[in-house]
Amino acid sequence: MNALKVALYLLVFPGFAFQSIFSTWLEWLDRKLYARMQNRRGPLYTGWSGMMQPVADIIKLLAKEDITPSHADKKAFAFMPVLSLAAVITAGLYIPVWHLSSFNSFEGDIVVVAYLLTIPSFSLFLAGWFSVSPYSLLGGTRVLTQLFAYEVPFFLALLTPAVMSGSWRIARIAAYPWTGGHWWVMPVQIIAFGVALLTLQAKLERVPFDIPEAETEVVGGPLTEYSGKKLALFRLQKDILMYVGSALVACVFLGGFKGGLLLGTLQLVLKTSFVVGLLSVVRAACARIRIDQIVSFSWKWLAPASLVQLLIVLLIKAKGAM
Amino acid sequence: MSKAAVLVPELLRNLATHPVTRAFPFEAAVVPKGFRGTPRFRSENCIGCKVCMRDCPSDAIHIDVTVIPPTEPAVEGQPAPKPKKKMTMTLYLDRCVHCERCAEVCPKDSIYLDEEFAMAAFSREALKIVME
Repeated sequence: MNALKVALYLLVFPGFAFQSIFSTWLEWLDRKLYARMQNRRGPLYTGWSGMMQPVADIIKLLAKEDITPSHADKKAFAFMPVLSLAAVITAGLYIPVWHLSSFNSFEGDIVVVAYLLTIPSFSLFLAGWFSVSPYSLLGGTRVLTQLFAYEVPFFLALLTPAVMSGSWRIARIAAYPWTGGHWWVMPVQIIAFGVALLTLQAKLERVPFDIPEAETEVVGGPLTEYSGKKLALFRLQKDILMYVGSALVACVFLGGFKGGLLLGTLQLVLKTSFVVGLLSVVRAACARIRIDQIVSFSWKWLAPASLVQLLIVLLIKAKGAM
Repeated sequence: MSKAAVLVPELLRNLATHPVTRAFPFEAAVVPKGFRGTPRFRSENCIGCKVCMRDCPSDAIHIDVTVIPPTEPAVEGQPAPKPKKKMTMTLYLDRCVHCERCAEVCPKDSIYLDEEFAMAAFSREALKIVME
């Protein structure tokens, strides 16, 4: 019985099925908001108001011809989409979905999730590396360069709510603002929230941090040689990464409360959609910046800002302890 | 990057306004005046000079001239009835670039471009249009 329950958790809810459905819905929301901010209509044709368009896109890719370059390392080339998808789905299992605690929650799970979310970037680099094509390789090196720029500020930003709540467990960090009258921590962490949003945008390789996939320079970057089923898996991975990243940021910065299956899931849907909405605003307001600009922006602004935020939080904690 | 925040109020305002694009294909699209759609043929005007065929940059037009012999018998003392000409235009829409050159060069105004723009088809054969 227990094994069946765990299998349901892993494959249905909050595992693969829920993550796939919710993440494609988030992609639709992002595309719709992005289009409306540009005075366009966005997806319209498939499903109600184009809601099924991301699903249709993935199904279309699944049905397309799957080509592997003759010089590519075939096994590694095929393994990379699976690895990155597995990493993000595993990370998603630690997000507290309908309850304050996920079914496999433990002290230190935020560190595990942060590291699992690094694997897709490495998979992208390796996908470019094993493709043996100039564009893929160039895109792959850009992914790595960008990773070294945003990863430290991202971790520092996630550190702030963890230090504030005195726990490394996502469930406890999420519960902290809503329990014992600690609601004031949310506005106090605004700098770290901003840094987390921008670095998440970089992690997702979205405008203005989409230089690894700049079509005009490197075609599709590390995914240039990918097609068919493998590209569909990468596409799904990207959607689920957006869900997991946004849900993680929402949980640690916006908190959460015990809500049961319906109310709990609804609050996750709402706060994750809010974070995705903010990411869409960033995407619509900015233009692509160069890789050197990303590195200097991250290390000159984002990293110091998260350190200042950490200092503020430590001072507040020290004052509280006195 | 520093000016990105300036755009945010306008972007948020756009969320509350109507989109400028149309909900095609659910709403009919209105084409602007002078739109170059599908070439059409007025066979009664055509004299079979084939200048459109010669000038078409993408070789998308073929004009066939069929001579139809007179049906009435010749009457003595009167000039013999002339054979009629039947003009047929075959348009290869998969090659047409909608440049309107055919309509421009036609001396008898027998080709014009209408406002039809939804021309997608599943086969090339369906894009071959014969007009008489």
